[in-house]
Amino acid sequence: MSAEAITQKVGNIWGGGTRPFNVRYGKMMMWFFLISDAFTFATLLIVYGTLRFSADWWPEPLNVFNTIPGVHGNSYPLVFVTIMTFILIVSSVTMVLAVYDGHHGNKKGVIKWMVYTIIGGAAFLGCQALEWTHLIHEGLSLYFNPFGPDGLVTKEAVMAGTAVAGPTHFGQLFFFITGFHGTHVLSGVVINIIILVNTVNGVYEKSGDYEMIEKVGLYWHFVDLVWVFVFLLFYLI
Amino acid sequence: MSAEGGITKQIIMKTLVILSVVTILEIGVALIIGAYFPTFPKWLLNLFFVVLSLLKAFYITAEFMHMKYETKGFVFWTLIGLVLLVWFIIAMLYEGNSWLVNNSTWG
Repeated sequence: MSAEAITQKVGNIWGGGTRPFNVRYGKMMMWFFLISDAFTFATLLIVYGTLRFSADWWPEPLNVFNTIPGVHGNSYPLVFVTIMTFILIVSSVTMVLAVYDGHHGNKKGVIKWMVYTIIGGAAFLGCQALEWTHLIHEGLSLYFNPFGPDGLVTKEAVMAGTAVAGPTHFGQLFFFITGFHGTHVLSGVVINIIILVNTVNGVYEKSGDYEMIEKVGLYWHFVDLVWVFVFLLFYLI
Repeated sequence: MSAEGGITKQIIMKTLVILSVVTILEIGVALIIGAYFPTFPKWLLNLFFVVLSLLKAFYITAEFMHMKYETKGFVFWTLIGLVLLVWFIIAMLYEGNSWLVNNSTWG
């Protein structure tokens, strides 16, 4: 290509008014942050995989996560975590609807769907608190795993040598990874509340641009995306 | 607005249905195999769960996170780094397995 042809073809790019990849700066930076965050989560989940491969025995998820808060008995495997998963999926959908209404400049719609998303996030955190409390009551901690090869055991029995405890890594990884994910949900809820307040105050209406909703939406969907893999590794496999 | 094109309420609802059906399928298979077919090969079951989870991840990224509606270059240059994870996963799982072999061989 001759120099003139190149100037003809790309010359106007350097004149301003265009964006690389047709994406605005804030959104691109949000994506870069999410990629770095994806590596953090991937590292944690890969550590989980490594330690699990190095263990000669691992608790069966169906025997660990088998209760529903407020319901008697332990014959409901995976029911509660299914509810949690659906709360997160539905809150992701309400977030998409908020972004959708934002693109159409519908302030009332954005407010409505943001409120639903925040409620969904708070409900998920509540569920996680209940699940943690239950597992801690069963004896799971960073130092002890009651889910042994012969069923639920107590620390006393293990100390006395009459029972075998499960791999300690299980509790450490569970609390660290679901805790790290929960922290992301918590910060997502806080960010969503800030954006909701801004929307109510008409900040985005005045600037005529609801792209901020889309940016926090990306973060919120990322939290949902990570949960897909946390769910896969802790509850299914 | 760069991503105004494409997504409609219909697509959003379709994605919700896909994610719900896949999740229910995963739970259903986990429960049924766990209860009635304890001898079913574990690796095949796990492969099934991994594939379905990747499918869910694809729909969340493509539709909810608008990746389907961005320019090809942006999608490529944003996500290309994740390729590094492939070797990371293989190497670390191999490593974990080596620890198990070492421990059971040498105590």
